[in-house]
Amino acid sequence: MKRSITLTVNGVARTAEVEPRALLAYVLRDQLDLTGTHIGCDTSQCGACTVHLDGRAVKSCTVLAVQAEGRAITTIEGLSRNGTLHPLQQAFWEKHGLQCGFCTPGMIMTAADLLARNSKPTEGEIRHALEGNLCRCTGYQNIVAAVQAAASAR
Amino acid sequence: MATLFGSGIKRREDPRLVTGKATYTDDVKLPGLLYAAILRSTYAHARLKNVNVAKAKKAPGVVAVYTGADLKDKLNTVPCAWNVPNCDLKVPSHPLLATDKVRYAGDGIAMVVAESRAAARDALDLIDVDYDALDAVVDPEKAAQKGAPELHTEVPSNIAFTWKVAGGDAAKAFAEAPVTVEQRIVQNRLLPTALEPRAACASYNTGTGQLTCWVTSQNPHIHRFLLSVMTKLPEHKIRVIAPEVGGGFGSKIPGYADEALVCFASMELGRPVKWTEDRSENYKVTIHGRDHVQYVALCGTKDGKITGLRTRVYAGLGGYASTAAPGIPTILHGLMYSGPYTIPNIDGTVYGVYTTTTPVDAYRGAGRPEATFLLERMIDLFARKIGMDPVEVRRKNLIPKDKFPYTVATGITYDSGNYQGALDKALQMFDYKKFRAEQAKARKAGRYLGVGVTTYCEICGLGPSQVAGAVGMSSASPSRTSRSSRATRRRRPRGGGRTAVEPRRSVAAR
Repeated sequence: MKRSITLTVNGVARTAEVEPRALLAYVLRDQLDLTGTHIGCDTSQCGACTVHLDGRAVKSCTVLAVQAEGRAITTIEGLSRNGTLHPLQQAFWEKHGLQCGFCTPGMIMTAADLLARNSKPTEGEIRHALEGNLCRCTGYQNIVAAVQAAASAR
Repeated sequence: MATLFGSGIKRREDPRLVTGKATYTDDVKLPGLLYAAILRSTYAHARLKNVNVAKAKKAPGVVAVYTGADLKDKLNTVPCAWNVPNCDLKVPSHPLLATDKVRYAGDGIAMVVAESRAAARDALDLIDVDYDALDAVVDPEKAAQKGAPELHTEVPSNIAFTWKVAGGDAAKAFAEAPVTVEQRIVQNRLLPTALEPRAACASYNTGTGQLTCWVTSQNPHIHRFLLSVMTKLPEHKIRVIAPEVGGGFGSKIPGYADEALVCFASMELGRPVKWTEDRSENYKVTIHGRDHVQYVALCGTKDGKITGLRTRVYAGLGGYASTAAPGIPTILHGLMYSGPYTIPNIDGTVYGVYTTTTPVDAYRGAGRPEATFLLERMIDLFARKIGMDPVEVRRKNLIPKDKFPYTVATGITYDSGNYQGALDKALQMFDYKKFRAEQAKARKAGRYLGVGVTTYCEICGLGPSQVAGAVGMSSASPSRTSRSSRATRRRRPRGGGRTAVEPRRSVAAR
């Protein structure tokens, strides 16, 4: 039995008919056409599906879509406003914080959550915040450098 | 402005990647799209007595269910595209869905096509499979012994091939050498683990007879060739699109049964069909790497001159021969046994062995790291046995720069090099002497510092070329990059290759 849910996604009210078991990651991708949120592991290991739920980073493959009813979601597509890149997006580009790019939306959303709570994190705090996000290509050095650069640019 | 070499440039790929606007295969959505899910064997080795799909066919949202029996005469089997010359390679039939037997946990048994991902996945649970379990054998050395469970009736003792490489007279060298070291080396099986799972989305146009397939591919031209073989469509009727690829590490080089199955389903149903593996499916079905058991001996003189190398290698291939599998432990492995050294006598034997495991194919370096570790480990053991600095042993055996072009005992001619120069530079940058002094001092204080030394000389750049043909790579095709200049003087780079992580567009532009 499908249920109708209404949620605010990237500032816009959206409605979807979802199965109670439907995961937020799949609803965002398949029903709301926001494919910037990636699914890498199905098991909340890799963090590629990270989005913000009421301002806090969550792994959307472990959130039921019905849990998001009435709440606000920000995905990677909603991070840049008015055509300018978010400082984290700019910093990932400039610091070579990505290769294949598959983990990048999750990395950026997790880092954005960190910077919202702690505007000047130490390197250790950045690494701790990103421990639930896996990158298989680049290594973490430049990802950490990108987050540091974004923090100083703010 | 960035100079051509030696300065960083901002990658052209990144704006779409950091904003979530890139298109990966699973992001592709077409009108009328159907979703496929594949039932995978839970047994490593079993006879299939019965596969009952009646309940699955009636499940809500299910459009079609296929088993191996449904594909007979309609599709070819999964090809192996590296027919290594001068060996007795046996490539047994690899059906797209198993018919009589399953040969690894993950072997495909049935495919469900449905209106949603969930409906397809749910219907898999309604398929009844009656297995008759057989003994499994996962170790390539054990699988090659008499009495081991056999996977394929046409492959006695599971030995897919025996490949030899020899130069000089190793038997004489070992008989005469004052020093010999021997070692059994296990290079364990590993999982490539690209962060993006594999996926394929096929759309067959029944009006034009044209098939378009988006696929997680490191080499779309090779995929077009392999899909053509499996689907029986000519290559010019197939367009393969490799959109953004989320890592591959070799695992997105081979052609897989599931990729052809979605093409088939689209051709049968006249609607686009997409399949995306989940992570556990990725670990069971997407190729693995390495899996060697190596018996190695190296001989030489007491003053550090290497005179011979002998190997016997059991290379696990998994349940079937994947696309490039036979070439990896042979051409890309055995021909590298001399490394950058003047080893006059080499005698190597590689057994490719089928085991009841996930197929093994190209993973990062593919055969070459296995050869380098083998050789460099033996040199370390040799250096330790004769009490010589491992750097000096290597220096003593490097091909001198005035000897190029130099033909090594495995038959390969190296055109140029200055290995001593490179070694000296590395030692100087690292300050090797200083480190050894620090190490000795630390050791006295009870602190253990280590330093590893290795060389790496790679056989590469195989295709497309005469070399690729000579070594039996039948799938080698035009993944080359060319440039055409037009009247507007805008240079148009044209590339057929696709790499999973390298910034091809940035590189071509530069």
